[in-house]
Amino acid sequence: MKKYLMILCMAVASLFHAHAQQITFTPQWTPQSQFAGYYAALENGYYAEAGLDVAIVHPTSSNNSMDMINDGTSDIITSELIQAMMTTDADMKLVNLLQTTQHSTLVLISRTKNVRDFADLAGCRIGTWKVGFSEIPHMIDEEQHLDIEWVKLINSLNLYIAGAIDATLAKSYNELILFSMSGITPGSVLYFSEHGYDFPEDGLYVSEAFYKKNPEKCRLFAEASKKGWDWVRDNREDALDIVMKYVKESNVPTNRYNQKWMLDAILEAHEDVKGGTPSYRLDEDAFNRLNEALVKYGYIARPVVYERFTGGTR
Amino acid sequence: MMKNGRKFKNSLSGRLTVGVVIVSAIIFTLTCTVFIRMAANKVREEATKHAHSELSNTIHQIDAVLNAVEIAVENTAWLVPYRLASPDFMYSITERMLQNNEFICGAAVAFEPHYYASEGRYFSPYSYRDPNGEIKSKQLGNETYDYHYMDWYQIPKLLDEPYWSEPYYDDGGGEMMMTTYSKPLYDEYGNLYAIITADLSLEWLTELVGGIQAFERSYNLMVSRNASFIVHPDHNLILNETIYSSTYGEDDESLKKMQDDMVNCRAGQVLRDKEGGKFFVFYSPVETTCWSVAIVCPRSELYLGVKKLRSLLIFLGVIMLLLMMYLSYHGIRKVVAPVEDFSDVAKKIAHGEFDAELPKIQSQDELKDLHDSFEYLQQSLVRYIDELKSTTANKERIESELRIAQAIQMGMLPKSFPAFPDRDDIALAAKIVPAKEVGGDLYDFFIENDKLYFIVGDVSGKGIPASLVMAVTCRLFRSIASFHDKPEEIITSLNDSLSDGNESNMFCTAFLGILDLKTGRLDYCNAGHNAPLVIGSNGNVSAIPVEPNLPLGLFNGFPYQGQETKLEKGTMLYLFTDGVNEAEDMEMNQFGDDRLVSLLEKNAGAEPKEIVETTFAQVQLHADGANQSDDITVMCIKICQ
Repeated sequence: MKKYLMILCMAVASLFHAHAQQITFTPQWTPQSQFAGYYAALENGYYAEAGLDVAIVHPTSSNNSMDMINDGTSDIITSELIQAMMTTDADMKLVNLLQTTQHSTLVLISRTKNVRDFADLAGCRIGTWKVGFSEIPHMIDEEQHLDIEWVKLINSLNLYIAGAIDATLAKSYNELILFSMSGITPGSVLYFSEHGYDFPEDGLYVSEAFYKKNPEKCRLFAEASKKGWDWVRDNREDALDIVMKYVKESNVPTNRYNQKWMLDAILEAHEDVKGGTPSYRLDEDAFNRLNEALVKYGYIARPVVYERFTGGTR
Repeated sequence: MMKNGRKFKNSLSGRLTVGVVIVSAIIFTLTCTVFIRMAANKVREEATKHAHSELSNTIHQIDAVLNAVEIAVENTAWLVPYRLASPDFMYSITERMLQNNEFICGAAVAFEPHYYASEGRYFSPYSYRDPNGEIKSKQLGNETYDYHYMDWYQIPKLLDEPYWSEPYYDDGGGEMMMTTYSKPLYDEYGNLYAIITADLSLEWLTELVGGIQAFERSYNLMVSRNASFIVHPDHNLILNETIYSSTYGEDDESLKKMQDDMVNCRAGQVLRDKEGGKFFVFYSPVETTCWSVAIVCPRSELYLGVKKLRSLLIFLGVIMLLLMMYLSYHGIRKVVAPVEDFSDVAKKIAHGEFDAELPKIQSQDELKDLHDSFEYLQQSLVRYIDELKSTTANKERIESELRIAQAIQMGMLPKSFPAFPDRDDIALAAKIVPAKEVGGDLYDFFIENDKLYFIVGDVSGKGIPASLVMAVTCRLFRSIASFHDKPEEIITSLNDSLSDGNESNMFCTAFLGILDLKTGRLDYCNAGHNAPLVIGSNGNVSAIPVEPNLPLGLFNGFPYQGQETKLEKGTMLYLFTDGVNEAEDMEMNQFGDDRLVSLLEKNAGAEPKEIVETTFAQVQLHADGANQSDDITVMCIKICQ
């Protein structure tokens, strides 16, 4: 009897598996705490509980997450809001499933002391990421005629140490801790969020086509991811264990201290109000302000429609 | 236990031994502490020198390799501008670099984007050594390996100067952890057109730094300018951790100093206190690249020799102290033993054994002095005792003689009372108490032809001289009085006899009277004595008026004046010496005339004997234990009805 029951169970499981079409999820960078909620959702079985068969595939230096969703390699990606809006405007309509980061984590690390505003850096040589994320700084440069010499780079740390650049753009959850771990005490650190440029950043995206075809899957993925992030918020050390596991599997040169700092900074940026519970919702006002700035400085031809961008459900 | 049952701690030798051992232990401990501390400082200095010497040697070797690489690049770079027309020749240049320097594991001439229109954006001829050691070449750049954004390309380009990259894991070219020396190349217009590079595998660096064996249990590490570990026994830390991240949560000054020194190209050493124990970290920078090489050594190993030395010293110290205790105790015992013998001798002397044998002392030290002192003491005691015996005998003899003299003196005075039992017309009582064995007071009386002759006197001074004068006076009174009828004649005769040949100038006050028992007439003569008191039958007390005259014995031929009075029946005549009214108590207060009069008034009705005894009792009561300073004499005569 037991034997028949086991065969029946296996048959039901295989039938269920056949229905659970695999979803490929790609974060926008190599494994790190920035994506802890998704790793936790997978490791804790939240995706499986939702009936989703999720595979996490990280991008490579030649194939970023936006390329991967564009060519269909990935179904769901994470992206910064600006990149998602620009992609939506340019060639591929994206739908925001979940807005994780509510605030700007962009900072400017300067060798010069007492830098209080961007105007203090006029004419300086400033490092910026080769892969982007620099639209806001460029807008400020253009708006204030700062004549900044932007130096595209992959790794700002050694250029900064060598004295090849005067300042560099950085993320509060990433490069800022790397500088600290290298014993560097910056002359000044400017937080963009404190100077009127506090825009949402990381979010969860799918192509509009995928969204229309799989609205329930998208909803389930977003809910499971949200559950993953909530768990991470309450179980930081356990979450770090999971992150470090992914880090080691991908041979990412980092350490637990670095990832702990990053996780704390990311979770703080998730909060709508400091100390509050994240809403995971894309703020329409911030979205509209960003829309206006991107149009003004020509990053997008026309405003992205909030309702469509958010799947028409919010 | 000691001699005489004395405990170790209560014996002089025991206490001295403990004192010596304690002082020795303190001196030894202090000496050892200073010595150990100096030794530890010396060891630390030597270890520091040794560690920095090892670091210096290693750094020289690293610098030599780095310089060789720099020279190889310099020696090759000049060729590039001459062969720019032939892009493929660049492969020959990079191969040549590898051929000329065995440390170089890869070399490239990386051109600016689109420098050669035919080669496109990426053109970077690159030569490397394959696993078999053969030199191979390939074009390095492509879309997935955009070398233009690599540190080794971008930094020298921005700095316009050669640059040693921070160690990195190259997964686009060399496929290993390496560092790259890059030199920017400029055309005749000063425009950069390429970066020429030489890669240095860090395997040799790991072997070199890891191979330093400065101390038995030390290990070595190396960090780059960005504080990342390049060499470390724990390979997981290499390029993953920094000296800041690996010490997260630790916060102490030595750590901060070490971190600050290491990332700022400074040499130094710190003592770190971690959970695993204390460690010395010696570090020194590679000047060329500002990497820091460090030797980490457990403090315990550095001080192992000092620790052994300390254990040996403690062991030797304990042995030495025990030996010192034994030797000191027995040495002191030997020295102190005669003292105990002297103690025994002292006890024998105390028991009268003055000739007790003294311990033999051969030395000439303090014990010899003590021996001589004891010997002198014995001799002195014998002599003193002899003298004391003699003195005591003399004293006893004198006392005996004095007792005899007292008996003789008292025997001269009438002391049988009632003095005249066969007569009812007179009652007389007298008493004398000398201040010493013999005294100078006197009294005497006798009746002849119904006349009472009486005298009371007081010789100047006390003791034997006074007693002799008293004896003479008494004898003269008896012999002279029977030949005269008048008191002044008797007194004058007495004075002449006493003053004749009185070279010692002794004198005697006296009151002499002749009382006619039938008539009550009293003839009297006073020679400087207290006026007697008359106690009337009605109880009144009054002094007899007396001429003062001079005491007896002072001036031969002095004309004494006689006086007379009449005593009624029932009255009493009270005679006394100044030992009564001038008797003193402890506070030197005298008995006084008033008190004497008052006493007589109270006892006016009493019999002479009772009045005499009461007087002595009251005087004794007044003295209240004070020494009697003068002879006391009282005589009381009552004319009966």
